[in-house]
Amino acid sequence: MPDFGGRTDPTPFIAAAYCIGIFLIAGYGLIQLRFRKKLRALEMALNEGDSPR
Amino acid sequence: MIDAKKQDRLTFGIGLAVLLFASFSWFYALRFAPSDEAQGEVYRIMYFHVPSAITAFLSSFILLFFSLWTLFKRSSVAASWSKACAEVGFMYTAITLITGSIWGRPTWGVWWEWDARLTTTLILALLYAGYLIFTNSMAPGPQRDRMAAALGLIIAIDIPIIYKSVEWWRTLHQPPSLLRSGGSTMDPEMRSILFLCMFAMFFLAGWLLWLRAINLQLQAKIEEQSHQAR
Repeated sequence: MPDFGGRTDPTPFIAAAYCIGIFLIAGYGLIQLRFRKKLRALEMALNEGDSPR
Repeated sequence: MIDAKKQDRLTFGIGLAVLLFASFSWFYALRFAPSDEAQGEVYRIMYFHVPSAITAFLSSFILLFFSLWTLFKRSSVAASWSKACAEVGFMYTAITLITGSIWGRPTWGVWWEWDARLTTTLILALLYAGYLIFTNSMAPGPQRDRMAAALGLIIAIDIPIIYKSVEWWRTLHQPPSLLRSGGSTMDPEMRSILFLCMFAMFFLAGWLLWLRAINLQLQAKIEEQSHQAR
């Protein structure tokens, strides 16, 4: 482990914890937003298929 | 279609707002929170770890509520909220375990220890994972919803065990410093910043939960529509 004046350098640990947490949260949010976009496209296609010509 | 577009713009706008609030809280915790006398700077992981843990616990209580609603009212909308709770709860439990492990390495000298708090939290993650595997493997319908609701009740039982584990057993994990008899032992400034981070995380998790639930409901509606169209 890197030494920091006799104590462990906390920077890599803090950075890793925050980056992993933010990555997971942002990743999940983005996946859901993209999924919603696809669902809306599907919904539109279904509605167009149902509407009388 | 105009209403749907407005709704999606509103959803995105709220998401952006809660993300900005959460980002501000993390920046504030990293930049302005005072150093800890014993742990120095590494304790700042607490401002992510503790809100994540409490969010994971809250998700199980919300799951409990919607599970009971599913069982008594037989509501498919409640079932979609239950599944969303389980997903968000699982994610936050995983974040709790990962950030806790990273914090534990420089503090305790180990990445993992089979102590009561860590083990019961791992059990919570496994319960959430089991719930999700179960709901994804069964065909959609009232039977699946009822069985999943029963699982949701079991998950909520783990939460008080996790909370009390540091009091009931000898553990490496520190005892409660916020909610304890005799008042909090935390520095008031640290406590204020922790509450800020907690509320920011609650709003963020709430938005994710809502987004997932409305996606599941829209998916069910589309599936029903396409089934009728055949």
